[in-house]
Amino acid sequence: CTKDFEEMNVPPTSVTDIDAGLLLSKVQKDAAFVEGNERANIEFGSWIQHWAGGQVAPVSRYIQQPTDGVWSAHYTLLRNLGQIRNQSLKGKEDDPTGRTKLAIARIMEISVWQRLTDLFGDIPFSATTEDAGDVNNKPTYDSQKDVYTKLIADLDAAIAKLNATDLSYGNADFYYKGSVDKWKRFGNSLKLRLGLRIRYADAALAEKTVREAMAQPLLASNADNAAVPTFNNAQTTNAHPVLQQFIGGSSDLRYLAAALVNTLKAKKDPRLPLIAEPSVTSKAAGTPDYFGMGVALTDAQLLGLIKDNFSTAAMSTYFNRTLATPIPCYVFTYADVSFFKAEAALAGWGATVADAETFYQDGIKAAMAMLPYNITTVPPAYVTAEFSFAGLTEQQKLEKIMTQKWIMLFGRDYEAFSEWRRTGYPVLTPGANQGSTNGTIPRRAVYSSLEGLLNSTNYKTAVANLTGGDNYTSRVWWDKRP
Amino acid sequence: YTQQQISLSMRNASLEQVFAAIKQQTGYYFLYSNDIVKKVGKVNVDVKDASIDKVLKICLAGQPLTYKIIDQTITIKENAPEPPVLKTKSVAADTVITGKVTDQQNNPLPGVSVAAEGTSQGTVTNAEGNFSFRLPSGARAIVFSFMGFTPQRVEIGSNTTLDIKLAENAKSLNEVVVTALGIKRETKALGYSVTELKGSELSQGKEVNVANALSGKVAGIQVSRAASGAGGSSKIVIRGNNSLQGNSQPLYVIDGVPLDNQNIKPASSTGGIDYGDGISNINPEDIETISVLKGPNAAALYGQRGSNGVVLITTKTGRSGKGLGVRFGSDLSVGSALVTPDFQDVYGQGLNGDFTHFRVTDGRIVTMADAKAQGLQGMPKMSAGRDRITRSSWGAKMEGQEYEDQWGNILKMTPQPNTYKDFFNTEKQLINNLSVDGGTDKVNYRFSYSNTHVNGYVPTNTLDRNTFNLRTQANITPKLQLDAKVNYIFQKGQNRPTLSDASDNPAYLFISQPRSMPLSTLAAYTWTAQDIARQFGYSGVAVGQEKTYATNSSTANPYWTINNTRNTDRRDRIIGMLRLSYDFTKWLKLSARGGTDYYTDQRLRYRTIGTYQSQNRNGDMEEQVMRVREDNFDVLLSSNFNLGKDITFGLNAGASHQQRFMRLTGNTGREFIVPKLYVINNTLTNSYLFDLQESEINSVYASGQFGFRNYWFVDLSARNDWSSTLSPKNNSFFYPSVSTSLILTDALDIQSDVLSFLKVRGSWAQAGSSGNPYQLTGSYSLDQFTHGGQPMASFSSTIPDPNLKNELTTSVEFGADVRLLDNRLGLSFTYYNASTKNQILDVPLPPSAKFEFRRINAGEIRNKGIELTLSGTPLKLDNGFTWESSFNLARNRNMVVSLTEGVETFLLGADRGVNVLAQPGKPFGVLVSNGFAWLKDEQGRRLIDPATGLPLRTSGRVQVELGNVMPDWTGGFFNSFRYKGFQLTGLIDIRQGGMLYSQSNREELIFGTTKKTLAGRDGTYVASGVVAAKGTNGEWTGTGQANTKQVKAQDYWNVVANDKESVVSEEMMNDASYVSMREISLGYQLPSSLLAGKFIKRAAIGLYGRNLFYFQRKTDGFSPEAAAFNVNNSSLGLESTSLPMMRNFGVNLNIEF
Repeated sequence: CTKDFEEMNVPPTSVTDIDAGLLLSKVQKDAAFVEGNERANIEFGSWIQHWAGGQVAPVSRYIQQPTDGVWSAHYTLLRNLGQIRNQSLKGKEDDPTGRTKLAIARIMEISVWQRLTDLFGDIPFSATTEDAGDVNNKPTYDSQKDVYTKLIADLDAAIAKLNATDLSYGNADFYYKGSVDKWKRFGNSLKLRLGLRIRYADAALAEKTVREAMAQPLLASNADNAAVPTFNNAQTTNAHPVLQQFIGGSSDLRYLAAALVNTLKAKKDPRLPLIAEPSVTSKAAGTPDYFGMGVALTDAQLLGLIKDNFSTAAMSTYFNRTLATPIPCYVFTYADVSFFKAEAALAGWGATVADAETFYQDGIKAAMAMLPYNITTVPPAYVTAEFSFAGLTEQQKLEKIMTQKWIMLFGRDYEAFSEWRRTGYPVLTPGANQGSTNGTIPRRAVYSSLEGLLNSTNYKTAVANLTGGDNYTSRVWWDKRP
Repeated sequence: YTQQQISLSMRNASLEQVFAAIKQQTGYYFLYSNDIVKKVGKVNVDVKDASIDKVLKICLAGQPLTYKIIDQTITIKENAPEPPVLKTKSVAADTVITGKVTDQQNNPLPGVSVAAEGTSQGTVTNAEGNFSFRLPSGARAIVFSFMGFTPQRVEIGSNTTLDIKLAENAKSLNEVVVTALGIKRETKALGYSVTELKGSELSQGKEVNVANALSGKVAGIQVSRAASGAGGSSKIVIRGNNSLQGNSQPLYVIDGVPLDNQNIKPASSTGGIDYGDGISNINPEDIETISVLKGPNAAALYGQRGSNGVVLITTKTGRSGKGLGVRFGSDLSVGSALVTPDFQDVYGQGLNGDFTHFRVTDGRIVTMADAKAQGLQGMPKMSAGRDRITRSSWGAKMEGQEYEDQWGNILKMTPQPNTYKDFFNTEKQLINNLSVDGGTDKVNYRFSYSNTHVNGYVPTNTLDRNTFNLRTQANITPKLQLDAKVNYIFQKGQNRPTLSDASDNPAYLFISQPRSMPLSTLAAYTWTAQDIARQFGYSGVAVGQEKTYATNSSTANPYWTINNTRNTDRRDRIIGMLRLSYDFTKWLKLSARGGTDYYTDQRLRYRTIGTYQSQNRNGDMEEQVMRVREDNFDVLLSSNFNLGKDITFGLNAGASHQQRFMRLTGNTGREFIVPKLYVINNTLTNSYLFDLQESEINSVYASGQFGFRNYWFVDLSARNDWSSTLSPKNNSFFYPSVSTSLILTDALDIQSDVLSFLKVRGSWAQAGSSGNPYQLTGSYSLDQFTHGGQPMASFSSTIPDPNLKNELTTSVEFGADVRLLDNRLGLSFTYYNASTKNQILDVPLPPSAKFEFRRINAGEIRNKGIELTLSGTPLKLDNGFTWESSFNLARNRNMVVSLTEGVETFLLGADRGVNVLAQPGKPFGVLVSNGFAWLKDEQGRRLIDPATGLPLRTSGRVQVELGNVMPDWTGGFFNSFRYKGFQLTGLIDIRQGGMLYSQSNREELIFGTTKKTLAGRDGTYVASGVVAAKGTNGEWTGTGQANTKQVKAQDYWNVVANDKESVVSEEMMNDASYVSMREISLGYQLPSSLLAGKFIKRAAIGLYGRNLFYFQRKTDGFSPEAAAFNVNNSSLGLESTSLPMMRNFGVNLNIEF
C-alpha cells in the first residue's frame, strides 16, 4: 500500500538536475540587474550622488540600516554558481565538455566575490558551504586581504583552464554567447580591476597583478563589453533596472542628485539630456533646464522641497518604456578597462605615463558611444575642455579619470561606490543630515542583521576587526585614501 | 436483542456486584440511583446461558425494583405503587402518545428514553424534547429515563399528551463523552482529561466562527483571532505552542471526518487578506457536542495530527418522534469598535507647532518661516506629506484657523474626533436557521439550512454563508446500520480588508492621518482638475487617479480602496460522510466509514486604473482557483470480552487511509489596457500562479480497554502510520499510548456526603507527524519568465534532508477529578508534561551559508503545565433559582530545550523593529529588538544628551531581548443564573502576561496622533533619565544626575520613532494581559403553559453582548487578543495596524413548531 508513495512525493514543479547554462544565465542577469535597481540607487547610488534618494529612504540620509538584501543576494548568486561546480558539471573539470564552462563559472564567481567584499570588507569566504550536503552554518570571516589574494590566484587558474575548443555556454551566456576569447579578455580585465582596487592597501601585490594583466589581451572595444540585454516590450522583469524603477518604483525616488546634474551641466556634457529630464517647473515656464536635488537632506530642507523643481532620469532614455533600442545592463566595459589602464599607466605599471592620456581619452570615447548615448563623435568643445592632461599633476589626472569614470558608471552603483571610496574622486560634499555618520558619506555597507542573529560568534569576531565596528563609517581594508 | 447469554453464579452478592458482572459480560450500562439499590438485600443468582431479562427478573424478584432495557442501557427504578385499576376510558393499545420532556427549568431534554414499562419498545425525545410513540398492547405505564436525571414512571391514563418534567439526579453522574475515533466512553473510565461542551453551551451570542466560542470555556485553550473582517480565521492553541514551523492548531474532526482547517495564502506582515479557515465554515447550530481532546494523551489514535490536540465535533441527528420537528431561529447582532487608538484632538497637521507652508495672495507657495519673516499676506497652506515632515500632527493647536489644505480646499482647522466612526460601518450580522427532523424507529433524518449575512465593519465588506446539512441514520437490518451526512457550504465574501503593513489596509490611514484633516476631503477620492491646479507637494498626478493624502507608498485613500478596489471570493465546500456498521454479535461490531472534505476557493482581486499603489497607476488584478480535497477511509472492528467476573476487556482494531490533494492555478496581471475590464488578457504583463501538493497516509491501529470492578480502568493504544512524505526507509512509524484511571471513592467504598467522588488518572502517550510533501529533495526551479527567450533556473534555498524522520510528541499527564458536598462542587486538576522531538524544521541559516534554510529533524520543545477547573452550584433554592459557576485556569510553561547542533536561533516572525525567536533554554517566542536601543547607565536609566536634552540611542540597530510572547496563565470565569424561564450567563476571559510589539504605536508616535504625544508640546517635555557625559574615548557615561532639561515633545518622540525603519523598539512593547467581559447573555423561554395547544410549541428569546469591555487591558489602542494578522507563528507577538475587534450586541429568537 506504499508502492506509489515515492512517485507521489516527487515535487511537481521542479527538477533535481539541470543544465549549467540555465544557472549561469540566472546569475548573470541577477548580478547585473541588482546593481542598478531602486534599492541600490537609494542607498549606494545616493551616497555617490547619482541619485537623490529621499525622506522615505533613511539609508540615503545616512541613517544606518543593515544591508540584508544585498548581502543575501550575493550569497544566492554564489550558491547557484556553486551548483554548477558541485552538481551540474561535477567530475568534468578536465573534460572538454565541462572544463571551460567551469572556468567561466569560476570567473563569474570571482567577480561576485569581489563585489561582495568591496561592499562589506571581511566576509565569510573560504569557509562557506561548498556542497549542499555539507553545509557550514557558521562560516568564519576571512580578511579582505586574504580574500583578494585568493581571488587573484583563483582567477589565474581559471583563465588558464579556458580552452577555445571546449564546449561553452552558447546563448545561455548573456555576456559573450560562449566566446572563449572574450572570456579570456574579461578574465584579464577583471584581474586588472582586482589589482588596482588594492593599490593603496597592498602596493606590491597590486603592481604585480596589474603588470601581469596589462600584458594580456583585455577588453578592447565596446564590442567586448560584458552586458546583459534588456527588453522593454516584454515583462517588467526583462526591462532595464532603471526602467523597472520607473515602472514599479516610488515616484519620490526618481530624482537625480545635484552633484551628477551639476557636473554634467558644468562640462556641457552631451550626455546630460540623455541622463536627466528638465524639471517640471522649468518646462512649464518654457525654459527647460536641469536641476539635481540635494542628498541627505535635513528635515528643514525637506520641508521646503518642491519636487517639481528637480530633474528625474531622462524620459527619453532610461525612463522610456518604448525606447526602440533598449539599453543593455552593463557589467564591465571597455570604458572601465580604458580608465583602469590610464590609472595603471600613471603608475607606470605595464604602460608608460605618456599612455595614460590616450587610455583616458579612449575611455571617454567608449563611454559616450555606449547606449543610450550613442555619441560616436565627441563634441570638439568637450574634447578641448576634457581630453588633455597637459599641465596637470598626477592627482589632477587621476581626478579627471575618476570623474569621467564616475559619469560612465551611472546605473552601476556598487562599482561607482567602490571606485569613489578607493580614490576619493570625484570629491563629493556630503548632505547636511547627520544621520548615523555625523554627516559623512558612508564608507561601507553594514552586515546583514541575520549574521548577528544566526552566525553571531563569527560575526562578532569580524566586527571586532573593524575599526569603528559594524558601521557605515568603518572602512574596508583597501579603503586607505582620505 | 436481549438474546445475549449470561452465565452467573453468585451467592450473597450485592445488586451492584451482580450488575457489574452483567455489564462485563454484555457491555450494557446500568443506570440507577445508589440509594435504591442499597434498599435491597443480598441476592443469589445461578444461571447459565440466560438472557438478560431472565437474569434481571431473578435478581429483582420480590424486590421493590423494576428494570428497563433501552438500547444498551438498563435502568433500575423503584416500583411505583400499584397502579389504579384500569378504567374504561384508559387508552387502547396502538394509541399514539405524544409529549415533551423538560428539566425543572423547562429546558427541553433531548435523548430521553421513553419506553413502555416492561417492554423494550420505546423511543427517545428529539432535539426539542418531544416524543411520540405507539403504545404496545398491555402497556400500563411509560418510563422516562435520562442520564443524570431521576427516571420517572407515568401511568397510562386517558391523556395521550404527556408533558414530563424530570428531576436532576446528582447521584448518577456516569457521563458519557465522545472520545477519539468517535468512541463513546464513560468519563470515569478515562485516564486523561476530555472536556465536552454541548452545542447549547457554545455561545448564546452567535460567533460566526465557532472556534471563537471556545474562548474562556475550556481550561488550557487559548483562542486568538485575526481582526480580519467578517468570516475571518481563528487560532486555537491547546496547552501551548509545540510546533516551531506549523501553527500548533488542533485537528478538527466532524463526525469522524477530519476537516481541512488550513488558511491558504494567509496575510503576512506586509499585507494580504484572510479568506477564512475551515472551522469558520461550520454552522454552529448543527453542533450537538464538542469534545476537546487536549494533546496526544487523548488523541493518540489520531496519529500525527493529534499531537496538537483534537476538537471533536458531533453534529445533530434526527430524532424519531411524532411527525416533523421544525425549528426556526434567527439572530441579529450589531458590532462596533471595542478599542480604537487613543487619539489626541488638540494639535493639527504641521510640524514644530506650526503650519509648514503658506499660500501668498499672489498664488505663490512659500514656507511658513519665510512667510512670517517677510510678513506676507495670505493663508497657511498644507503640503502633501511624505513621512512625518508635513503630514504629521505636530502642528499648531486646532483653534479654527483658516488654511488651505494640500489639495486647495479652504478649511478651518478643527479637531476631527470621529474618523473611525465616520468611515467605518456598524457591523451587522443576521443569521437564520431552519431545521426539520423526524423519523421512525428504523430511519431518522435531520435537515438544516442556515444563512448568515454580515455587513462588515469595513464599508463594502460583506459575507454570505449558506449551509445545507442533511443527515440520516437508518437500521437497514437489525444488525446493519447506516449513518450518512452531506454538508454543503456555499460562502461568498466581498471586499475583505487587507491586513497588516500594507497601504490598502483601511486602518492604516487613521493611525497616521493628520488629526485636523476632515474625512470629507478624502471622501472626494479622485483627483479633479481643480485639485491638480491647487495641489502642493504631489507630482505626476492626473485627473481621475486616486487622491492620496500623502505621497509615499503606504498611504492609500481608504475611500478609493473601498470603491475602486475589489476582492471577491467564493467557496464551495462539501463535507460528506457515509458510515456503515454491522453488529455480528453483541460483542463484536464492524464499522466502515468514508469521508471527504472537498472545497474550491475562487478568489478575484483587482484594483482599477488610477490606483496609486499599482504599477504605473494602471491597476492590476489577480485571480486564483484552489481545489483542496481530503478523503479519509477507515474501518474499525470493536469487541468486548469478559475475563472472569471482575474484569471487562474491550478491543478495537482498525485501519485507515488518508489522501490529501491541493491544486492552485491562477494569474496575475499588471496594468490594464482598457478600463473597467477585469480579465487577464486586458493586462500589459501577466504571470501565472501554480501549486500542486499530494500526499497519503495509511494507518493501522488498535486500542484496548481493561476494566476492573468498574473502578479501575486501563486503556492501551497503538498506531502505525505509513506516510508518503518520508522516504521508504523512514516512512513507517509507530506510537503507543497508555492511560489509567481509578475511582477511589468506589475502590475504597467511601460513602461520604463531603467527598462524593474522587478519581485519579494518569496517562502516557506518543504521537508522530511526518510533515509536508516534497521535503526530501532539493531541486531547481525555472524562472517564470525567460530573458529574451533564454530560460533561467536557480537551486532551492533550502537544503533538504532525504533521511528525514517523523516528529514525535511524548506526553505525560496526571490528574484528579473530585466532587464534593453532595456533588455541589467539582474540581478537576491536570498536570501535563509534553515534549516534541525531531521536529521537521527549516532551520534558518545565516545568508553566508549560501542557503537560507536547512531542513532537519531537530529540536525539542517542552510544554508543561497545570489545568484547574472548579465548578459548582453555589446556590440552589427550592423556588427553582439556581446559580452555577465555574472557573478554569491554565498555566503553561513552554521551553525550547534544543534546536540542533550549532543552531541557537529559530526565527518565528519579524517586523521592522523586532524579531520573534525560539532559542534553546528559553520559552518559545522571545522578542528581540531589531531596531535602535537607548543608551543606559548601569542602573538601567537612560542617558540624556546634556546639549539637546534628548535621550541617546545607539547609532546602529542592536539586538536586545525585550520579552516573551507567551502568557503566564489563561483562564475563564463562567456564571449562570436560572430562574423559571430566565437564564442569565456571563463569561470573563482572562490572560495574564506575555508581550506584543505594536506597529500601530510606532506610526502613532511618528505622526503625533495619540494622547501619549500631548505632554510637553509647548517645549516643556522632560525626558526621564540621567544626564550623560562624553568621555575622551567618545563613549557616553551617566553622571547620575536626573535630567531636567525641557524639550519639545515632538523632538523627544522623533528620537523614539523617526520613521518606520528608525525606532527604539522597546517603546513599542505592550503587555498583552487582559481580563475581558467576553459575554453576557440573557435568555427567556416562554412557559409551555402559555403555548399549550398553540401552533407554536416552544419559543425563546435571548439578548447578548460579546466582547463588552475590559476589566483590565494594558495595550495602547488595540485589543490584545485580536492583534494578529494571521493564525500562524509568523504573527506571534506582532500587532500590525490591526482593525479593531468588534463589540457585539445581539438578539435571537428561537421558535419550534
